Amino acid sequence: MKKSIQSRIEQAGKHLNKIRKNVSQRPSPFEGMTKDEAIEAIRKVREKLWEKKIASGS
Amino acid sequence: MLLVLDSNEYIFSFGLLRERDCKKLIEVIRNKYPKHIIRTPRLIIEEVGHHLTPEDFREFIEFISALTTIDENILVPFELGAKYESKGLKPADAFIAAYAEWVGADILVTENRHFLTLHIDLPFRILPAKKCLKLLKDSK
Repeated sequence: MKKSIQSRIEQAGKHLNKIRKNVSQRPSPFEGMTKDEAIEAIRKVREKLWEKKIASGS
Repeated sequence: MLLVLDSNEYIFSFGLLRERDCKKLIEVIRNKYPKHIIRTPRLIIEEVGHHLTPEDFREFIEFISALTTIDENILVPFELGAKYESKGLKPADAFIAAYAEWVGADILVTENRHFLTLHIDLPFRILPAKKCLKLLKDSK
């Protein structure tokens, strides 16, 4: 059975809140970084994942 | 509106870096669902997952699955990615731009200045969360 719109909104909210709660209880991997530094760190991960994909041919 | 959110938007919206607009944007998308639809490729899911614990990654998958489906990277035509590479984007960023075009996105939302400073003709807009929020608000 397809989920109703309201049910999807509630489910998404439940999972979002759980992530936010968990994240707030741990040190962030971006602690001490500026926004630009964090974005650069995220981009580096993107490049690594992409290179891995190309190398594996997937 | 059809939106593609870059990985930094999800990551910041979870509170890994305090970015009020990113947090707000994800709330607006969720609360107004299905007025604004998000689409996401597997690459962005994996990027976000890299910065989360396995438990939170599972929560993220559940969160995304409630609002959309995850598209496999392989669906995006290679030629589209090559087009954006030729416009100066790095291969992985070019893939994200190609994906946005492929799904017919209205907006690619990102805080990444490599995208935001891209001055080329595009079939979609590239906006940071703050400007996207304003646009969504004005689109009522």
